[in-house]
Amino acid sequence: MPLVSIPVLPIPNQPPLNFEVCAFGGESGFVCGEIVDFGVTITVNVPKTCGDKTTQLFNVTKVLMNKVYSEGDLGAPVYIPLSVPNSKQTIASPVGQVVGDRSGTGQKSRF
Amino acid sequence: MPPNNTDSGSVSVSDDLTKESNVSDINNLVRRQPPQPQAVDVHAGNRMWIFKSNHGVAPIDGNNAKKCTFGFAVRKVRGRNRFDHGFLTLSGCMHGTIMGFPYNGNPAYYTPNQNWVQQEAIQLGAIGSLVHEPANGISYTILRLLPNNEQYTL
Repeated sequence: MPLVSIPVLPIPNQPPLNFEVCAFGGESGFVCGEIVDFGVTITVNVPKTCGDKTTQLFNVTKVLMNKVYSEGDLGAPVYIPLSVPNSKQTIASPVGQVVGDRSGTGQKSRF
Repeated sequence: MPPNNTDSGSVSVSDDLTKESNVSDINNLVRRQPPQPQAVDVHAGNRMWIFKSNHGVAPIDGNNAKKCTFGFAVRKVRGRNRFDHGFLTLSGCMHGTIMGFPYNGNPAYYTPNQNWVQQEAIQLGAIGSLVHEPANGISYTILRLLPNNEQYTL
């Protein structure tokens, strides 16, 4: 199932479709995948509630990851891995954070 | 807009693992020792437990917490309420009452082995500063790490 990423800051040059992004979740660990859709509308919990109220979040980017994601991964950083020239080091360019979609069954989807 | 800052935040906290130890001569001796500083290495991708409140001690049952992940490391260097070490996380990680009122606490805990063990839990700070802009697809909150002063695991 696709992982959903929302931006943590405006990105002047948004990565294109099929672009590779990675994430590191506290529960599922390191995953990578590609962007499959932009401008998606999802249903999320209203902040500062006990989880019984939902609201819609617009302009969300959907990512198809190579691994199942869990609820404990919410908030995990989503980034573009970049290689440092002439080095084995990589750096992470931040693009968003993991968010769950509660639409459909009323349960949080697993990503 | 949060700063584009991905360096790892780390904080040194004090630790008193012996406060609730079983009674024994050895433990009684240890109990009289002053809290020792403990280096805590936290970074984006770590798991955290967020509770409604903690009444000054780490809650026993980690299942009462919302389990979320540390997002990107951030700091606020200008304006009010500056902080040096913080992390973004999802706004849905915040607790609220049935009536929809926010809890003031929302203490966030971390454990070195990343599984909930009350005796090992370290309160790193609390989450707040909600930014919720549904039309822009932005919804996050900030975990501010407590400063390096007296902190205890129990």
